[in-house]
Amino acid sequence: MVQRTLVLAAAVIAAGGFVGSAYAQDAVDVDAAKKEGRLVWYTSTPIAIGQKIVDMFEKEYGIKVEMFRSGGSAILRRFHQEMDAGRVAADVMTTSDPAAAAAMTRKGLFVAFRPKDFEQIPEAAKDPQGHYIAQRLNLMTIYLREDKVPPADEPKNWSDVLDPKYKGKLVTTDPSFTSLQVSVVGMMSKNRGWSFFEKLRANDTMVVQSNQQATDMLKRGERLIAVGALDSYAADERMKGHPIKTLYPADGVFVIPSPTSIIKGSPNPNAARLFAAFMISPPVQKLFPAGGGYAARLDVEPPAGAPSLKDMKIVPIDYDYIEKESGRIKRRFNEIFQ
Amino acid sequence: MAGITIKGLSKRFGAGETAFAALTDLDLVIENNQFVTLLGPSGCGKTTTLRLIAGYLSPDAGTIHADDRLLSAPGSVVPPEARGMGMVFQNYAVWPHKTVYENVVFGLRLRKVPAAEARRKVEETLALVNLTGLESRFPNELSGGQQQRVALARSLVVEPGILLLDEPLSNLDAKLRERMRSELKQLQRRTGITFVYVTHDQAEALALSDRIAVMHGGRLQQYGTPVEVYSRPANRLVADFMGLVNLIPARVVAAHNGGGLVEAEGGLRLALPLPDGAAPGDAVEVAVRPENIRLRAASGDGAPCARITDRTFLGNISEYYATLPSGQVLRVQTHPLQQFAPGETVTIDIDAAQCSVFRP
Amino acid sequence: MTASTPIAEASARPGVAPAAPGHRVRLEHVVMGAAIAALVILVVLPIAALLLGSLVGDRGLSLDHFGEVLTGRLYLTALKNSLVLGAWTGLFSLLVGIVLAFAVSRTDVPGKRLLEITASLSYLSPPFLTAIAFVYLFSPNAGLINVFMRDVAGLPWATFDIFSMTGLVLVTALHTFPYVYLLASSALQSVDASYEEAAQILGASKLRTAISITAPLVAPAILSGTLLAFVNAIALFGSQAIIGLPGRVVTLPTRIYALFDYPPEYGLASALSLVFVVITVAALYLQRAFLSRRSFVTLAGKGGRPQLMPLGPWRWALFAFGVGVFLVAIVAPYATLIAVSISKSWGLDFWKGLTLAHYKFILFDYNVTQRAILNSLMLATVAATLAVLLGAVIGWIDLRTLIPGRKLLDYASLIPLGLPGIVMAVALIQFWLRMPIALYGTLAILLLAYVGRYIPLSVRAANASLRQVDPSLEESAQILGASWATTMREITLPLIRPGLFAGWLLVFVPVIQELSASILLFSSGSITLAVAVFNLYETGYVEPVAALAMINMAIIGLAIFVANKLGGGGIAQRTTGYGAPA
Repeated sequence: MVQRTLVLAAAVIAAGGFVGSAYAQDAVDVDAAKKEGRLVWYTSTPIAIGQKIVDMFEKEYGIKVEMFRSGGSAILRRFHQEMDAGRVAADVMTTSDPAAAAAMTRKGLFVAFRPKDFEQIPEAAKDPQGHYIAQRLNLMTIYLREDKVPPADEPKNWSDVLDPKYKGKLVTTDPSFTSLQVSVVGMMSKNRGWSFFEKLRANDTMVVQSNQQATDMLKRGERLIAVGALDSYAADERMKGHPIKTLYPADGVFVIPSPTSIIKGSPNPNAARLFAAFMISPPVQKLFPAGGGYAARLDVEPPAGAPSLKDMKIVPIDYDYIEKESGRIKRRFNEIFQ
Repeated sequence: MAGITIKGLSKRFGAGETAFAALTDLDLVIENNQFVTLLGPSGCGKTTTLRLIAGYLSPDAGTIHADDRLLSAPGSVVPPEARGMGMVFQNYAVWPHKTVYENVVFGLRLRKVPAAEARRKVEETLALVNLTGLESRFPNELSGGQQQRVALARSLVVEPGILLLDEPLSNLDAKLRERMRSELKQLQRRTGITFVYVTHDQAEALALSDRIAVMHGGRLQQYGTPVEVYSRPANRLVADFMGLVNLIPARVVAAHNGGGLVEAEGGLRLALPLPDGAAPGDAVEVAVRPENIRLRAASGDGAPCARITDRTFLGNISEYYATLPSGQVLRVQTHPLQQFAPGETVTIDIDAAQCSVFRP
Repeated sequence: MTASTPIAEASARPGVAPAAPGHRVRLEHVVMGAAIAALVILVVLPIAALLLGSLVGDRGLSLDHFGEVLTGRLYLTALKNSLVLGAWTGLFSLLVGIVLAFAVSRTDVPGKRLLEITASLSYLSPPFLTAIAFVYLFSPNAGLINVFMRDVAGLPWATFDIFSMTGLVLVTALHTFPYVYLLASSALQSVDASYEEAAQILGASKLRTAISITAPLVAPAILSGTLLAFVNAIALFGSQAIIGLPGRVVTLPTRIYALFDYPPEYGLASALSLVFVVITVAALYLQRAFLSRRSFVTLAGKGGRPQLMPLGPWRWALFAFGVGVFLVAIVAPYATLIAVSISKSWGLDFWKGLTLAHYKFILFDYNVTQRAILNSLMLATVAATLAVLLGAVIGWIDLRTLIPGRKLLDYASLIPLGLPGIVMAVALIQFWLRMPIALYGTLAILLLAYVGRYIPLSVRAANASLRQVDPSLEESAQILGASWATTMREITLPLIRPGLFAGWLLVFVPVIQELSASILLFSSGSITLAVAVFNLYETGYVEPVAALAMINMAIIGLAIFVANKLGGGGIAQRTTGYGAPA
């Protein structure tokens, strides 16, 4: 794996530079895909967008997509259990755990596939051979109820949330369920030590399973500040009229790609390729900014009203470390919070 | 029509310590066209025998033949549905979800009898049991007696060679029971079907049967005509079961060629037939039925005397408790017009010819 | 013998039997063999695999997994939490159940029908839905009732944190009190009035009679109901995940579930499952012991129904209590779920955003929920049918044959009562992972789980119906020449049909809402309704969750309606009587 400790921002900034035809584009047999007629997609994509992708694909090609939607870690768990049981049910899988995707690539579980527009995806968000390709980029940050937290009280950086004045107001997600959180907790604990989470626990932080649940806690006012949660949900609720504000901590946000892979030996290989190619096509990619998130493609604009990734301080993520430690990260997190 | 031959039939239930011998070594020959009753108290093995004949149970030992056909042997049992018998159950077992007609026609349908013929046969059979006109009723719209007849008709319509009846009258009231009793008997005579009838009611057995098999404790005690089992009981159990009986302890005084003289305590002496091998000095019991003792006013002619201690008027007879000088109490049944008062001393005459003698 | 009678013709063909006997394999033996084999595959082998799985470790056979499970802090905490949950739930079920049962059976309290309905609905309502609803009502800061108490009523001390052991006990007891209620009320109603009248005629007061005569007579039934409540309470995965996890109250089901995090710890999960089984079986053993003591006291003679106790004004207090339970257990959760399901986005002004969009989404747009609904309907139908047929055969073998070991078969069919749903799932995974057939993640393994879990219900139902059918009804068909199959078709099955139908619903309703086993066994294609609800909740889509919950209840409601129409009423009561753990 080349240079996996990389700063995604750098790639984004360099975007203009490397667009080229270094890749030979892999062909897709559309007829064979249509003959297969269906495929199974395991994904942690937000439900509404996921369903839209499914509907668009069905409309475009007449191929049925059976979507299974859960948290990224839950998806991975189920996928692995099914592999153990000798059953490959999924054709395509999208999670938000690049470390796991890299590990599974090395185990030879994925098909190498470089579809059209492969070069439009930043290097850091894909495997050079195309074993996994980002579907979207996830901004993991802090957001809060702006009607209940006065501007003066807003945390400026990550360690501010440990202030006792936020006691009982914080919510975060569980890395055992949400794969995005594996990277966040991994890097936070690596950079700041586990004491960060012990203090978070001492500040009576609520742990929920998913990012959507964290947003839900804010919507209902059960908690006021989400720590290390997916910004696109906040943006989505903001569009519906909820007073939720995204913060960009001075010490950096996390930007984590959601890799999509084709499963080796899956029942519908051609439909899977077609779907994976479709995933990075402009119509699909534009769904993400429309829902408040960031597309994987460099040539798609950031969501309306949100800053470009270029303008943010981004915390580098050591995916080798995350991959090696992910079991321990989840376990340690649970030990602290249970 | 068929006869049944049972040889060495045994059946146990349960295993190990809780095992229970329901039937032990039964030999029984039921002749064709006969009305044979299996009689005995509950638990005597009579129903087990019937269910073995029907094929619901398989024997542990012994065989059952119908005519020359082997029906049951250990490990090899012709199932009930292939025996061609009929059976009437104590609770009638009339199917509650079928009408009278459907109940009766069931066996004919199984035999693929053409519909028109089946209808005719059902009608004839229902007429035979006096149920004409009730074809479309459901069992819950019928009286107990009517249900009983449905059960009978259902068994008869298929013209079985053998009809098994398991206490079919026990759930009927006394009057109806008596009427059904005579109907059953007529039916058997008319059809010539071999009836094997189970009951614990000795009066019913006596009234209906050509032959009675008295059973007790899983063993056959006696097999004979009603008169034989009543008046010449094979043993004390049979005597006791076949009706009221006085048992008088006695000692053999003299014995010769099957007859002899016995003396009871208090000097009561009777000359009567003795069991084989009885020798002077042997302790025996004399069984005498209440109707075989006569009472008359004290006469002083040397016949034994007794004192009346209780009297019960039963309508057609009177029953007395007469206490002998030895303290032995005898039950005596007399004509109701013959009257004695409690406390009165009477002379008793015992009809020695009607007595039986058992070893205790 | 006159020639005119039909019987006379019989002499021409004596003893004609319609079928010749043969030594070919008989149908009944095939059917019975299949039923026994099914029970072995459904129950016995998975349990054996569970046992084996708990003993096989890195170093071959060892007790290492048990060692870890019985000393590790995480596991002991879960064990302790489960026992605490079960004990408190049992106690609350006892209090609520006994008061309602006494009120309905022995007093002149008004509105008895309402109280009965409350008990039935509380039992039938899936506890994970109640849990979700209660999160909306009592989440510490934003729960509707908490907000009202704190901000409107100005009573901050009157707020309640649902994410706690107390909250979990409350939600669970609302589902389990009917066990006590139903057993207690049936016991109270079957105590022969003459026992009490005999005490009264000797000069005992009403209270004295209640304490010294009635209470000892019904105590075994009540204790038995309490133990059933305990067993069921600790087995419910859904509510323990929804309420327990955010409150950091980890219990045995949620701990076992967590052990399936990748990489799954099958050995530890199996060992912990067996510890779970030991607790459940011990409780059920006690329950059976209590219940068997009951039998000789309440099956009394011909005395009349007990007198109702006039309570005077107190009956209104009792009535108020019943209405309170009704409001808390039924009205509040369902009103909340309905409200959430029709709000555009929960948390915004409710009246400005009324919409049916979420129903449209789950029914017509979102293919996961569509699939889940179809899967659940299909699985419930097939599982209920299979369970009932299997139950009928097993019941028949037990009651109508003398096959050696038939009692063993009957006991084997009861084993699943002692298996919490998640344990059943672990056992099935352990077994089928070792088999060459890849069943994991298919509809088939869910079907096995459901039939296996609910086989006790259908066996009991078939058994109860068969006991009503005197064997002579079958024997009389047999002696007329009917084969086994004909006898079954013509006599037995028509006669036990109402019972089988009740049994069918007895299995259908819980399968529709089954979560505890499904959560480990489902896959994308085999996702079920309850899993979809849980999955949507877990991922935070609250409004569609509520809409799907209402669909779930609509299906259950429809099933009960049909049941009452065709099965002759009282299905709900019957459903509870058998008491399978969730």
